[in-house]
Amino acid sequence: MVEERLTEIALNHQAKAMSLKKERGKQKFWVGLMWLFGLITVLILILVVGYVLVQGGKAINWQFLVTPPKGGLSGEGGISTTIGTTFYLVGLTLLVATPLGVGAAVFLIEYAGEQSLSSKFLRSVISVSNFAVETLAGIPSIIFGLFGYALFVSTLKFGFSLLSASLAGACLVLPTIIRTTEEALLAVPDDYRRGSLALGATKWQTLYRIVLPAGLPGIITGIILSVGRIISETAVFFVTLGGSYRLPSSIMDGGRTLALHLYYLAMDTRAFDKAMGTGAVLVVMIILINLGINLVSRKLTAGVRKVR
Amino acid sequence: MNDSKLETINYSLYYGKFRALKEITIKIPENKVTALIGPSGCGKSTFLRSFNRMNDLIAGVRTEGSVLIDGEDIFKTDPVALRQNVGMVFQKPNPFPKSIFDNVAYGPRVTGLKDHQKLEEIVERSLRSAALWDEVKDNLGKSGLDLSGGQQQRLCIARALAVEPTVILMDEPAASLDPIATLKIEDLIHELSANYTIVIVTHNMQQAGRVSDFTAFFYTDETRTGQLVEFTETRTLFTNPKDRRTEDYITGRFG
Repeated sequence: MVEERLTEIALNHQAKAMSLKKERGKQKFWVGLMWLFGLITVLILILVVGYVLVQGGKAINWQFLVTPPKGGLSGEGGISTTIGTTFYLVGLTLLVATPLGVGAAVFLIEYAGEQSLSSKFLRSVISVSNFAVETLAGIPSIIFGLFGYALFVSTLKFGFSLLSASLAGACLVLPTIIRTTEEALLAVPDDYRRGSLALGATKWQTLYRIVLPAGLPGIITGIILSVGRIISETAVFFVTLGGSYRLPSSIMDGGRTLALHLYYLAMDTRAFDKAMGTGAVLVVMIILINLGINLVSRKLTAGVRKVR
Repeated sequence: MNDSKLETINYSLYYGKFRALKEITIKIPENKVTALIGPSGCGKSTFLRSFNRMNDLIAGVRTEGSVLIDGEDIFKTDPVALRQNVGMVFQKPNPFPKSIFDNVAYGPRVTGLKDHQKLEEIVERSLRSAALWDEVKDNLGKSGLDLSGGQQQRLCIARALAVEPTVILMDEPAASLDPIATLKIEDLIHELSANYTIVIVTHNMQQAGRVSDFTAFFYTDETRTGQLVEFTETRTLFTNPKDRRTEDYITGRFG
């Protein structure tokens, strides 16, 4: 009886050891596979970025950066005015999109939620706007371009201009700004809000003295993401900004951003080296922006993370 | 008990259809410590939040009867002004992600004080009253979140004192603290009671015995509706309870 039990236990042990060995083997396989996938992804990234940088690097020199494009089919000249136009457009677009987006998110998270409990109308407004934000984020950008062309360029007669382009661009990045701001606000602990209200602060004071500063890293992340989006966008601006290679002198002037210039160079000229050079500048800008995002959010969240 | 600072008369509170508090009538004396004790879910925290209208922030809350401060109906006052008079300390220390100085100066600044010298005076006085000054006076620029749990809670008390309230509500202020930090908070409550009316919710009967002058025992039955069973001097309540349920609770037969 005892012996039988002992054998049973021994067999059991054996079986367990076997199974463990098998599981270890499986684990090794899958972990190895994940590593491989990770490696491939990194390689692809390095390949693309590396190719553009190496190829483009040949075309880049100081002259290239500070000379305006010559225009025409030759594709000769530099990219100075397109860099300028890119900055103008980024600034203008954010000027429109940031207050709108942050304001909408604050309304949705801080005000609408609580008031909606008593108002059916507000409840439907919220669900519609949430749905709209999600849908907008998934719409192909050329649709925003078409819309911008129809409304700003032709109906409102702003023409191909920085104004039309920045308004259309704002529509494009609004969902990003709203979403990231909403997430940032939701991440602010309610303890802060209660603490502030209990000290006799009004809701507005609580919002701008406590909640917004605490949510700032997330909000800034959304804004920087938008900057990247605007810099790399072509479709929207193709149909709203026109294609002039001169530096716009007012918001009613058209122009071309770096990305647009790259598009023109690649499609309409034989200056493939210049296109590559422009691409390299674009890639470097995007990389810098992403580094900026990391830096900013790490710096700003240092204090906030600790409590959660 | 003639000088009642806070008073409720037939006060009931509903969360939607659910009645959380039933017809509570109590007179809380001025510049004394009053402890609210009772089993979990008996509504003592809800009752506490009634005095600074923090329940207003919860959706679907409805009340009946009246709550008075200095004889005035609090539902007729402005909640923002009320909360400047009735401070609150929460169960979990909740300093803002700001410096120690800015945490304490928050309340005065919110009321419009900008004079930096005056703010400095208030900050020092409040931190001294909260028995935290000596520990932080050289580090006022440090984040409030870098303090220990007990220090954070005293910072929150200092923050509440800076607004110069007359009443301080405390919702289990030591629940998340270690025994030594708890002791410091209790000493502090004792000192503050000379100048402030303090109402404290506690799960800990020894704590109620140590810090309070008066104790209110709340109880709830199957209906989950909280009611006030007994309210009297702490010593009397613990040595000579009148109600059977109070006796059962304080002798540890349930709860």
